Amino acid sequence: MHFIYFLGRFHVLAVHLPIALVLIVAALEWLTRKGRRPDLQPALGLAWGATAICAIGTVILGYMHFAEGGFHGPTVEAHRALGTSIAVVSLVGWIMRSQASIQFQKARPAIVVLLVALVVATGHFGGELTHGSGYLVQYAPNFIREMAGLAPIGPRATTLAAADPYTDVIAPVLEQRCMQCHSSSQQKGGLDMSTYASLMKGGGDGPVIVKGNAKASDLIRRVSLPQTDDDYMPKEHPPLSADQITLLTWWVNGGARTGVKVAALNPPPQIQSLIQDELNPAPGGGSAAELARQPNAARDKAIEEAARKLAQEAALAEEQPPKQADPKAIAQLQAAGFMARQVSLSDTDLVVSPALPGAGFSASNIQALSTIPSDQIIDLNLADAGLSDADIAPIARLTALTRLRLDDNKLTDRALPVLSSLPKLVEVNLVGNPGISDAGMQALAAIKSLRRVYLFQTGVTKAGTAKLHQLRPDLEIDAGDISVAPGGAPQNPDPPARQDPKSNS
Amino acid sequence: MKRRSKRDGAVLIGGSDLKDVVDAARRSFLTKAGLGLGLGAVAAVDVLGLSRANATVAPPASRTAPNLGKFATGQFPATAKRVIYIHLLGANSTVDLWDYKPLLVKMNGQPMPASELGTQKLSSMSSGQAAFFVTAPVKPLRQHGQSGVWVSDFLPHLAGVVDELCFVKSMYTEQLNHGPAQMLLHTGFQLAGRPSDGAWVSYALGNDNTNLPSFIVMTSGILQGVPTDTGTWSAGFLPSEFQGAQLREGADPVLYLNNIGGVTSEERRQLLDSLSNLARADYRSSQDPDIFSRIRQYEMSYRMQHSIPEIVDFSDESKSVLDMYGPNVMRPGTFAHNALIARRLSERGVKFITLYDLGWDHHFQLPERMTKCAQKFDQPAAALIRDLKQRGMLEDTLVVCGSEFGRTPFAQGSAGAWGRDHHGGNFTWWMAGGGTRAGYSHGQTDDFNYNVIGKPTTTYDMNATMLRLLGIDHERLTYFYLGRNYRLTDQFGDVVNEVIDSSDAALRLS
Repeated sequence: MHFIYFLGRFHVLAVHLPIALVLIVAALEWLTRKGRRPDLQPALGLAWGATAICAIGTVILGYMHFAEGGFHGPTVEAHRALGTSIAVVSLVGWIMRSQASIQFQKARPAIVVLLVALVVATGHFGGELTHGSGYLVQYAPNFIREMAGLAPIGPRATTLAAADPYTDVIAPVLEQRCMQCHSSSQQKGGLDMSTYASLMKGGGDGPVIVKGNAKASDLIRRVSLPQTDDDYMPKEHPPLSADQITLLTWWVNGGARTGVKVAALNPPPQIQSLIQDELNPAPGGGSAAELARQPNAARDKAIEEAARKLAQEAALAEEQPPKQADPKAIAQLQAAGFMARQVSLSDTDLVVSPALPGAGFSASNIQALSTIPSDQIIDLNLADAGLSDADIAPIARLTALTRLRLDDNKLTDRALPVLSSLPKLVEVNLVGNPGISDAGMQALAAIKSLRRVYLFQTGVTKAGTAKLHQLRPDLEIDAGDISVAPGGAPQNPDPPARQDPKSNS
Repeated sequence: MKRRSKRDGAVLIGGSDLKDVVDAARRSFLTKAGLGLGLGAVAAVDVLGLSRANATVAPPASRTAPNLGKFATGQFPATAKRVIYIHLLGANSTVDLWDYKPLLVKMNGQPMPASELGTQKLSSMSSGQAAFFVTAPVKPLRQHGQSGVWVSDFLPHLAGVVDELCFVKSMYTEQLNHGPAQMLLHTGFQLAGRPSDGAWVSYALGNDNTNLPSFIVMTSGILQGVPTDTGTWSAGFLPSEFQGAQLREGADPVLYLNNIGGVTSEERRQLLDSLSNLARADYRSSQDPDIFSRIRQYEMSYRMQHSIPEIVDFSDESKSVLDMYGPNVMRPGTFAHNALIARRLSERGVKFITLYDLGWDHHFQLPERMTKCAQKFDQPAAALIRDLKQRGMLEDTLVVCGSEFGRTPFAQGSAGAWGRDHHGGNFTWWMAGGGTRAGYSHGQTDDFNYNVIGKPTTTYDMNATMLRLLGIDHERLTYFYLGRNYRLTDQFGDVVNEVIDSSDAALRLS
């Protein structure tokens, strides 16, 4: 049975085929009227055949979808009857066309007009079923709404004195959150919330609202349940906001009244302010509380996508066989007072730092770097090692280096050209080298692969960072108080706080 | 290290003879048990299990060999090389500080609706109250930075670095009392006895500085009700050298570290060498692997005689940096002082630093006490972020700031001296650096600040995420003890991948 339901859901997709084909048939019939454009005649036969076959197939899918249940009322009956007749009429049309009989020649325009009319009507009712009744004309001008038999949208009541508790406060909430499934056309659980009377009548299990008793009302109970509960409503949708539940509870406890004005019910101040929010929604919809947690959908989606990718990569890493870095290189580095770790169990590149940071490091330690294979160290920490310009020459051959820490040494601008021989260097930390000055910025800018540089407590001035930014706008420059983001102008690290208009004080 | 034993040809593992260890452990067990209960199969299995786990502990090698830990490296490239873990002990009110809910302002003074309270567990300190009055945040919250995160006026300095922070607003916990909740947070189990977060990291990754312990703990603030618990930095059943080393306030940060009067460093060295020889002799007869753990700790404390005084001497810090941490920075025992020490330890490669700040258990007089706590915490915390950032160290230093639970959106106690009670239903943590997604807020809470309604996150998840940032798969970091493997995340925990900033990973490594 589930497979039938599965196929049935394709009805809403397949339905577009016969619609388009009927329109093609109509167009072709019109073009070939009274013997014109005989060249199009073969296409006409083909189009009729395709229309009939697609219409029949779609109707079969439609019955499968209907079998799933949950569809009641006149709309679905009309949709079913009209849809079935499209299949019948298009089949008749195809047969008559292939007979090329004289009767068909006369009945042709009538059959085509009938078919188009049927498609429009069926499509409309189908749309009502999927999108909810009144979807099409919801924002239509009032004269169209009246033609459709709907109440004109007056200027909505915006004050407590003029508002009706049901029509202006509760009904919009129900329409927004409940009526996708509980409307006159789609009465899930037999419940129709489209009018006050049908709401009070309740669903298949009896009334959902007990006037004056929110606790006993099934509607209130279900929307207050945790999302994991079987009875939770709205099913498979985010829960109603606390404001909405509070309003519903107040309304039911007050006797679920309509035909009076809100002001006459003397709502407590808290409810008054919630109703005000409801009557005068903030731009973009929703109360202030909802706005405050309005997610940035595009950003959230990107973040979730990135998270999924990370999880996948982690799962892949699990399956990677462990790889061992060259033990000789590691031993050599250790003997020279370094500490070397692999990047990860499956990545044999090395991350290297002094074994005793800030204690007795000298140029002789660094000499060891010139004897190990040059393509293994990707991350080297030489912070606080007492280095002067001549000492760092052995670094030049570490061509795999992406990240280099040289902070708190005695380097000057003369040391910087060494770095330009590192083709993969992405980041360099020069913090605490007072000898680095504005004159060195040219050399830094020349390191093409560089993306980030730290210059706090160096001799570099604001003019220097501005010059570097001008030479390399793609560079992230952090000089302590004068940070420059890539692409942008120098930033004040403390942008003035945005004031909340509704701030609580 | 493999070599044939002289006696019976057994393979030597990590310098200790497995069969000897088993024999010795069995002898020791039988002596201690007095040939009493548990003899037979059960005892034998127990003894074997125990010694199997411990036999891999190697004797201390040469004094300067790097301490790479059990793993040396994790399963993944690490974006964080070290962790600074700030625990606001007693549980800060994130209702007042971070998670802005206009409804609390609107409903200030009205009872919480019963539907909202639901069946959530309350602490016995407020569960007897006749009514639960919604109470608005003490000071207004405003949006700050590019990210527009809401920050209380209590935290003007942190508001200035808000774009560097990554928030988890959907934290929740089952534990409503301080002791078990803290224990759960740091060890993955609510009862004492398991290894703590820093001990696990220390065991796995060792340290980037041979002269300092890899796990250091400091405390600040005034004890008000909720004390620190050494169980939250214990090594549990891991070898004892992995427990957190506590730095005390004052001129003598490590007790008994300095030589006693009349003893020179030279003599101390000789003493240690003789002690080491005695210990080795002891090991030959008892085969107790914990002896090596002890020797390593003696050696560490000897090296700390030189490394620690230098850490707590701020004379090489510039005035602007000291000013940034605020007026308390030179006063030992304050959060400002500890925050600067934490930065200095990070620079010297310490893997895991936990800062406990006491005094956040505001059951009563919340406005007054929050003012005091926030004042002492806000400026140094923001300074720590800024300082790490401008030194280029924030990108590989993970800063975590959280509490064992949150506090209720309703008031506890009388109107004149109100506070907020313990609340496990939802609370906010923040992180910075170490590869976290700056400016991002994870998860959602409801309009009352009472329940999580999106992306619920536990302390297990946070521990798993922290290990992931350090490059470790939390399911692979295990230790065999009493017949089974244990891990920091017990049997739970999912990495919160959303808080990991993958876009920049390529810039950092490979």
